[in-house]
Amino acid sequence: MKVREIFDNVYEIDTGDGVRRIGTKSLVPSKRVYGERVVKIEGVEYRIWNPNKSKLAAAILKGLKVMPIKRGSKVLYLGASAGTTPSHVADIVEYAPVYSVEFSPRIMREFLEVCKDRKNLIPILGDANLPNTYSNIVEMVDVIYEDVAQVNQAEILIKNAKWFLKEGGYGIIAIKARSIDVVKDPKEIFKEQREILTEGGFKIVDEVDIEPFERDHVLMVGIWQP
Amino acid sequence: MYYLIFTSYGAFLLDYNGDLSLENIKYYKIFPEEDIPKIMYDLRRGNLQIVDKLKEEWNLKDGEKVIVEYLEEEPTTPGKFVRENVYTLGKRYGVFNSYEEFIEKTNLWTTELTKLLMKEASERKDKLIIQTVSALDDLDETLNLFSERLREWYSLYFPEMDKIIKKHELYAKLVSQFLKRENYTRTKLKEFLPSKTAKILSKAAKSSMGAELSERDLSIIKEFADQIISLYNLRDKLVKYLEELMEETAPNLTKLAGPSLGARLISLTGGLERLSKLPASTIQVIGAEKALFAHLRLGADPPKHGVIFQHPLIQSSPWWIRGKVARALACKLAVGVRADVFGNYIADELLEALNKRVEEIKRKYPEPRKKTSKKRKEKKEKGKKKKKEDKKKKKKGKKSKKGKKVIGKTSSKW
Ligand SMILES: C[S@@+](CC[C@H](N)C(=O)[O-])C[C@H]1O[C@@H](n2cnc3c(N)ncnc32)[C@H](O)[C@@H]1O
Repeated sequence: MKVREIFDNVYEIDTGDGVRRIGTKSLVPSKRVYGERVVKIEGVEYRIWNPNKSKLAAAILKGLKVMPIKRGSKVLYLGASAGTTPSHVADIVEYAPVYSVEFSPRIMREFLEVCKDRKNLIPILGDANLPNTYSNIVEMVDVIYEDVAQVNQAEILIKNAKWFLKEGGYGIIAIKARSIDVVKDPKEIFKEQREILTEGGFKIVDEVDIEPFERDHVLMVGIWQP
Repeated sequence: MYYLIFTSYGAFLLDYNGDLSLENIKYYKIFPEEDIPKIMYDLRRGNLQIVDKLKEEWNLKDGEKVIVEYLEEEPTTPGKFVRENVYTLGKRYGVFNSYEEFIEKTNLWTTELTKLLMKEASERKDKLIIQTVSALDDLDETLNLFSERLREWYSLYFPEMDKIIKKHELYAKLVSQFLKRENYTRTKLKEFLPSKTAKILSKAAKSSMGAELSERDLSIIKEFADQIISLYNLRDKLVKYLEELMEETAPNLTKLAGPSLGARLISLTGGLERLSKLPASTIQVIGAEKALFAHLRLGADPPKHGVIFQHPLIQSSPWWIRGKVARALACKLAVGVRADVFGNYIADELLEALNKRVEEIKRKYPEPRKKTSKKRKEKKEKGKKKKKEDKKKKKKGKKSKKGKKVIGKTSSKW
């Protein structure tokens, strides 16, 4: 087995079967979060990052060029769900907080279990439309990652950036065409979202289509220059 | 201008008119650590006593204008300044010694806050479920009452239809759609009815013994029927809404028991949390409290099942194993409900195990067990007594709670 760092604290792992895999160093060795595979290489445990379950992993495998989440990045994560992607993000930043907002109390219950092990995951039960309601918890951050699958998600990112994103910080957003408009051409939708983000203060610096892992999905990365 | 900025561990009042530095911090308050989750909770719930307390503590005059950023739609510059320095400030005032400690404490406080918010949210959901269940009960009672009235009323004009169309909803629809007897033609009726019934009804319409009524008389009856139909539509909406509520609140229970039975269990116990604390043996008899008391006081047979008797697995089993099936179901329900409270989804495995268990019971007891004739007779006697007792009780119950009897009637689903 071979391992190679492709981004800061993100690793390409060659298990010898010809499949391209990535992973993160597990912050909490011998614990799995979502049934992912773990491998040990030279005494270090890596969690294989499943692109079918995480859009960020899919984007990295599909050739993401700008990866703003690094060791030490403070992150605001909108739409944490049960913690699949947040757990890897927490692995990457290591000793920095990942403020994780999730809307649904039921899903939050599962996410709390993940936060028990990864202390740098900060659970916030809240609505990403209302950043003021968690403004007493979240500090200024380097990156906002958003995956809420809502119609107004570009606006939500901008709103949160105004409250919490350092100037020159990054916004990452997973856009699912179908959750914005079922009938419209996805290309059209992505163009619209790009315009909203640009007008709101983001300079888009990367965009990856994550087929075949998810259909009609892109991940956009922008720099906050209000 | 003063700005009041909250962090998790404290509050800061900044005097800001242009530039910012730590010198702008006019007052600060570091909260006792054990109070932090509750303070954050109060803020989230819009309970702002703390703001007044701080103003008093800091001797701010009433006329002094203070912007509380937490309540603003847009962020403020002093707020961002504090958010830049959350760790530095905390360290300066002795809340943390290291960044790691900052992270760990924040995790602890927000976890506690989240638990408080979740508890409240789940109680709110329970209340919504309970109200919806009651609204459906009321609606069923009303629908039965109105439907009976419609039948009597319209029977003045077309008495034969009462016997032919048993389902209330269909009856109301037909009245609304056709109204006059001459409209009940076979071809048109076929859209609503199986052809045999269509034939019978159209024939009955032609030779009806009902009295003639005027346009005006009939139009009021139609109006009444239309209202009944719209109540049925409302009922469908409530059922759908309840399904969504249940799916979100208790997916395991919903999968195992179905949304309406699951909701009924929650409403009878007063909440999901309470339901989750009951042993399976109690879940088995929820809704059969009368029989249970008869058992305890009068030594009648213990009830084998309460509302869970409605479950298709029990309904489809032969009578002699229903008690056993009910117990198996109650066991899985108890496990499922606990998983719901905890936030795990395990219903698929539970359902599989349950189905297996039921198959096993069916195999093991292919026919009723023959007891020695004497014992059986004794039992029968006892059973009869119990039934009488129950009937008496039921009658009493009916008077005080009119709705109860009606429930089963309107609703196949309910
Ligand atoms: C597609 S899932 C996120 C999956 C997650 N990012 C991962 O990769 O593991 C979207 C989540 O966003 C949450 N969500 C939707 N609207 C939200 C809002 N306004 N505020 C916060 N969370 C929201 C949903 O409850 C859901 O859990």
